[in-house]
Amino acid sequence: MAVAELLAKFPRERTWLLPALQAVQRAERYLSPEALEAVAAHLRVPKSEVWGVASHYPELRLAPPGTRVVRVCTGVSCKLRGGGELLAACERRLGLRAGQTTADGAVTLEAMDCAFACAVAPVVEIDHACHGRVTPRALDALLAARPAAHAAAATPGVAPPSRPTTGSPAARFAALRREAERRRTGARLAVGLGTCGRAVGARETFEALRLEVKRRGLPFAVVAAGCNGMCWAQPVVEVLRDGRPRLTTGPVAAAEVPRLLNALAANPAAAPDVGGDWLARQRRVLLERCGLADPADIADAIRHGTYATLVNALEDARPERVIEEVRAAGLAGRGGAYFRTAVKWAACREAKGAPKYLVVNGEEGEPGIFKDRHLMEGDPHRLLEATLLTAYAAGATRAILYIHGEADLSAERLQVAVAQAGEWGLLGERILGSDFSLDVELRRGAGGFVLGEETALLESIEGYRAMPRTRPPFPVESGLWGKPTVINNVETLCAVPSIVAEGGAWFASLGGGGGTKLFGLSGHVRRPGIVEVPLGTTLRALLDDLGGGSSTGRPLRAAVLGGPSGSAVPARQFDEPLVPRGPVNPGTGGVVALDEGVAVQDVVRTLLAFNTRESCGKCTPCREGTARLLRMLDGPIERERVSALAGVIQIASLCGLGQAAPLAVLSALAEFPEEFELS
Amino acid sequence: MKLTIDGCLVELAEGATVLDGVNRLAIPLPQLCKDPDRAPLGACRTCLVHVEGQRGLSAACHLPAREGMVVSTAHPDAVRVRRGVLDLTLSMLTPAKGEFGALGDAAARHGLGEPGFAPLHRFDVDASKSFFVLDREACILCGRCTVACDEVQQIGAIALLGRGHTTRVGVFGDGPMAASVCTSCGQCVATCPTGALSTKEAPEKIVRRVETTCPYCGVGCGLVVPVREDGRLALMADDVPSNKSSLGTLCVKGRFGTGFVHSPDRITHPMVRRDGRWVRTSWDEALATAAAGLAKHRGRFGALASAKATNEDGYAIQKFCRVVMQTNDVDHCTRLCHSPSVEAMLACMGSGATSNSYQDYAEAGCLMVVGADASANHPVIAIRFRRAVSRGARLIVVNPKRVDLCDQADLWLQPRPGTDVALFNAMARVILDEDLANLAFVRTRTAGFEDWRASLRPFTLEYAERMTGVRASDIAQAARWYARPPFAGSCLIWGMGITQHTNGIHNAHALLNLSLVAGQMGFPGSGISPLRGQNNVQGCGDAGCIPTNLPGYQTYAPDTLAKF
Repeated sequence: MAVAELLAKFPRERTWLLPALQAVQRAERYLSPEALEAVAAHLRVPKSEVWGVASHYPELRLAPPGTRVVRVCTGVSCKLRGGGELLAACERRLGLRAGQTTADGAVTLEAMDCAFACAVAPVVEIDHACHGRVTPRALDALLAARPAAHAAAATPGVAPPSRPTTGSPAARFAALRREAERRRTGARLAVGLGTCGRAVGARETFEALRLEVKRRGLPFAVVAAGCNGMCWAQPVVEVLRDGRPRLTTGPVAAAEVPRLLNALAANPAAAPDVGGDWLARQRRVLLERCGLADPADIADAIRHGTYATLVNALEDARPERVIEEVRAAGLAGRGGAYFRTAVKWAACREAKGAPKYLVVNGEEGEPGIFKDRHLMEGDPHRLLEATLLTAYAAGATRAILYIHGEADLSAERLQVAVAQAGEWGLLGERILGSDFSLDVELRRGAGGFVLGEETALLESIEGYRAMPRTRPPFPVESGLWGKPTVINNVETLCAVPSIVAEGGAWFASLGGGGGTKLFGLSGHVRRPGIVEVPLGTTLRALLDDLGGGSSTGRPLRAAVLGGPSGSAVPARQFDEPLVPRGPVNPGTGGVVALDEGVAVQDVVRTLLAFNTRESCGKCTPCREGTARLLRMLDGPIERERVSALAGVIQIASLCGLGQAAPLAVLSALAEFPEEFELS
Repeated sequence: MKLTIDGCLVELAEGATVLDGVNRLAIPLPQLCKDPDRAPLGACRTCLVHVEGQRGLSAACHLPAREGMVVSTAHPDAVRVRRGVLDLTLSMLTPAKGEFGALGDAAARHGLGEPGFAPLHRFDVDASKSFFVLDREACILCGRCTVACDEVQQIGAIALLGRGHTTRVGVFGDGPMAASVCTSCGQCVATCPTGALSTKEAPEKIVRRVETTCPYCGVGCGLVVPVREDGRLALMADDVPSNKSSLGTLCVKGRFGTGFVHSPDRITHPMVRRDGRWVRTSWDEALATAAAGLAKHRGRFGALASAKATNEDGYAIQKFCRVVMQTNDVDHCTRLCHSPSVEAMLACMGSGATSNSYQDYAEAGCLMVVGADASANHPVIAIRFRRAVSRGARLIVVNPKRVDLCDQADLWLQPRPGTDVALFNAMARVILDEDLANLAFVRTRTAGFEDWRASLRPFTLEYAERMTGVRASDIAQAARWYARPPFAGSCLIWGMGITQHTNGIHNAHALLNLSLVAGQMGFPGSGISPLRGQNNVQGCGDAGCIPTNLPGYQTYAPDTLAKF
C-alpha cells in the first residue's frame, strides 16, 4: 500500500504520529526520509519533530534492514544460558558483527537486550519469530530454514450472539451466559501457545494434536491457550475432562503427540502429570485461567466466570464500593513502585475535567520479566474485565491499552478480545444497558525502557518523544491531554476482578496485607517460568521450591531482582521476605538466578549498559551520569568516585528509572566487592 | 502563602513555585533549563534544594510552594548534589568554547574549575544561518530552544534528536539549520542559557535597553532594543512577553532587522541643494528654504503621508495640507492596501477597523484566511493560526498562490484571480441553502437581507466552480466549516489579495456579508480582520491622511466642511 494511502486512515492529529510511523514501517520495513516527510505533512507535525520522534524510539528504523533480520538476545538471562556464544556463532556464520547487514542486503544481525522469553533462554529471533532453548548446533538449521508460514491461528466459533436490548445488566448478561454455555464443548486439550511455547515448538504440537485427534475421531476440542506459567515444560498440554482432575503434561513435542493420545486412551492416569506439585505450591489468583481458557473465545472466558464481577458492580451501581474493596485489598502498583492503587482511582474520580482516561500500562520492557505478557496472552478477557471495573470506579470513559512494541502476541490476543467484547456488548456505549460507557483503543510502544514510566508513556500517546514529565501535577489530576488519567500496570489491574468478587480483605489476607504477586524465574534454575505467590514469600522459596534449585549443579550465589532497576541480592538474603520497601524489594518481580560460576560484575555491567542506552536523554544526571558511571567500571574502580556519581544520579534524576539506574552496580559493589578491581 | 527560604520569609501567590520564591529573594540558584516565561522543563536538575521534612532533594522549578515550607538552597546535600550535576553538565562542553553564560556563572559559584570528565561527543559548528550559529559543543540539551521553536513559535525547525547521551539539537535529517524551515526568528538564541546558540556579532557592552514597538508590519510586536556602548543597536532585539500582541514572540524582522537605523544612506542632517548638489546646512537655513518653497506652491501642492509614522504625525501632515497649503491632496499607501477594506467596513459595519483581537484567532474553531500570506508577512500572527490548528481548529486558506499556511490547512481553495466575489457569494448561498445561517443574528443586526438574498440567486455552486476553478464540493465544505466550526467561532481574516483589485471594495463586501449571514461576529473566537501591511496604516487613515476623509472618518463633503 502506498504511504499516502496508509496515512489517509489517520486523522491529522499529532497523537497518531507513532501509529503512523509504525504503519509505514510495517509496510516499507523502514522509515525513509520521503516517508517521514509524508507523515509530517499529513499529521501537520513539523518535519524536525517527526525526525526527533523517529530517531528516539529504538524500534523505528531509519535505514533499511536486510531481507532477513536475525536478532540474538544478550540479556542477562540469555547470557547465562549461552546467549553470548550464540551471538558469536551467528557472527562467525554470517561474517557480520552485531548491528551490521551483509553487503548483498540479505541478512541483518542484531543483538537484543531482551526478547522477554527469558524462561526459554537462550533466544534467537528471526524475522519476528522467536526461537527458544537454541543451541549453537541448532543455529545452522534455523538460519538455513526459510521463514515458516504460520497461518494466523483460526479464531473458533465466536460469531456474536444476538444482543439482548432490554432488562437490567444482570438479565442481559444472563442471556449472554446462556449463549456461552450453549457453545460449550466437551473435553479439551489446551496447548500452551504463549510466546514461550511457540518458541519451543508448541505450534507444531498444536497442529499435530489437532490432526491426530481429528484422524482418530476423539471427543477432544484442541484449544490454543496461553502459557500456564510452566515455560520450563513447554510445549505443555493441559488435559481437561469433565469429572476428572486437570492433567498437565509437558514437554510434548509434535512427534510425541500419538504417544500422549495412546496413553490417554489406554489409561487416563498413565500420562505423567508434571504440574500438580508445582501448581500446588503457588497461590494462583491472577493466573487461575492461564493455560486453561481459550484466549480467542469470549464464550469460554464467560464460562470461566469472566465479566460476572463487572455485571455485579454495574447492578450495584456504586462505583465507590469498587474503590473501597481495592483499598481494603491493599493493592499496590505491580509495576515496581507499589503505589496504592485505590488512592489513584479515588483522586481521578474526584478530579475535575472530562473525559477521564484509563491507560493500561502493558509496556513491559524490563529485561528479565515477562509476567504481563503471560497475563495478556493467556487471559486477555481478565484484563478487559479489570479495565472495565477500573474505568467504572475511577470515572473514566476512555481506555487505552498500551502494549509493548514487541509483544505481538499480547497485542493480537487483546485485539481479538476487544473486538469480541464489543460484539458481545461488553464495551462501548451504555454497557449492558447501564449508564457506564467505555471506549477501548489499543496502542503499541516502539521500544524504550522509559515507556514503562507513566508520564513518558503519556507523552508517547500524545505523539512526542518518550520523556518523563515533571510532577506535580500528577496524571490523576492532569494526565493525557491534561485530563485526569489513571495509569495502572497490567498485573495490578488483573488482580481487580478477583478483589471485587471475593472482597478486599480476602485478597489482603493472601499476602500479609498485600495479596499475591507474579514472579518471573529465569537464569540458573531448573524450572524457569512465571509463578504466583503471596507477597512476603522468600527468594529461597521461589528459587528452590518453585524454580527447582540450580540448573547447573553449582549452588546459587545471587539473584538479580527487579531487572536493570533492581539489585543483585546475595544468597545470604534469600530468606528475607520479599515485601515492598522491605530489605529486599520485589520490584516488578523479575528473578534471575546466578550460580557460583557467574561474575556478578559482568551482570551488573550489562544492566548498567542497558540503563545507559535506554536513558531517554531528557535530564542531565541520568543521560550524562550513566554513561560516565559505565566508563568507570572499565578500569580499576575508585569506590569513592563511583558512589559519589551514583549518588548524584540517584538523587538528582527526574524520573524513577534514572533514580534507580545505579542500584544494581551499587548493590554489587556492596555485596561482591571482591569481584571488582578496586583502586 | 508564606514560606521560608534560607531563613528569609517570602510571600507568594497561589500556584507559585519554590523557584519563584528563590528568585524573589534574589538568592543565586542555577536554573539553566528554566525560561522565566515558560513552564518548567525539569531537565537540567541544577535548581535542587532541600526541604525540611522531605527525603532527598527537589527541583525548585517544579516544586509547588506551600504554606510554612522551610527551604534551604545552601544545605550541604543540596550544594554537593548540585555541584555533581553541574560538573556533569560542564563535562558535556568543550572547555575552550567560552564562558557558557549562566552555566559558567553557576559553575564558578559552586567552586568548579576543570570539569571532571572529558566530553563524550565532538561537533562541528553550524554557521549556516545569517544571524546566528549553533555550536553543539556549548549545548547542554536543556531543551529551551526546541520549546521556543516548536511550542512558542510553532515552527519546529529544530528538535531534540536521538536518545540517551547521543541526544542532540538538530533539524530534519541531521542537516544544517539553513536546510530547515527555520525562519531566523531568533527565539532559540534569545532563550539559550549557555551561548550554544549565539549571534554572529562580537559581544559588546550594552548600556541601555529601549522598549518600543516593531517598525515593520501591522501586528504591533513589543520590542526591546539594546543599545551598545558605541551607540549602535545590538544585532538582536529582545522580545516583550507582556506585550499582548506578540506575547513574547518576534519574527526575523523585529528580532534582527533594526540595523537599518545605521544605514549610511540615511539623511541624518538637514541638507539643501546648491548648484545641483546636496550640501549639509543648518536647521535655520533648511527651514527658511523649505518655508519659502512651500509658500510659493500654496494651492498647488500634494503630500504623501507615511503609514509608518505616528497618529500625531499623520494628523499634523493632513492638517498642514488642508489648512496651511489649502489643498485636499493628501494620501498614503492605504489607497492601495487597506482603504478598500475600510470603505466596505464603514458602509457595512459602521466601523472601519478589525472587529476582534488576536486572542480570538487562538480561540477560534475555524480560521478562513483569504488572500494573505501571514507566515511571510505577519509571522507573529501566523503563530496564532498554527496554535489554533494544533488545538483542533479548521484552517481554510483561500489563495491563488501556494503559501506556507497551506501546509497546515484542512482545505486550500485556489480561485482564479479576480473571481473572489463569485466564490464568497456561492459560499453564502450554501450557508443559506443548507440552513446554516444565523437568522436570529440576521434579523436583529442586519438590514436589506432579502434584497441581498435575491442577489445571490445566480451564484450556484456549479456557476462558482466554472468561474473560480474551485471544486464545488470544496466551496461547500468551506462554507459549512465557516458557518459551523467544530467549537467556538470562526474568524475571517484577509489581506492584500482581497483589497488590491479594482473591485477591492466589492471583494471585501462579499466577505463581510459572509460573516454577517453566519453570525460569526461579536463573541470569543469569531470576527473579521483585515491584516495590515504597515504598522500604522490604520492610524494614518484614522487621522485623515486620505482625500475622502477628514480625521475620524468624517466624509470630505460640503456639509462636513461647513462645520469649520
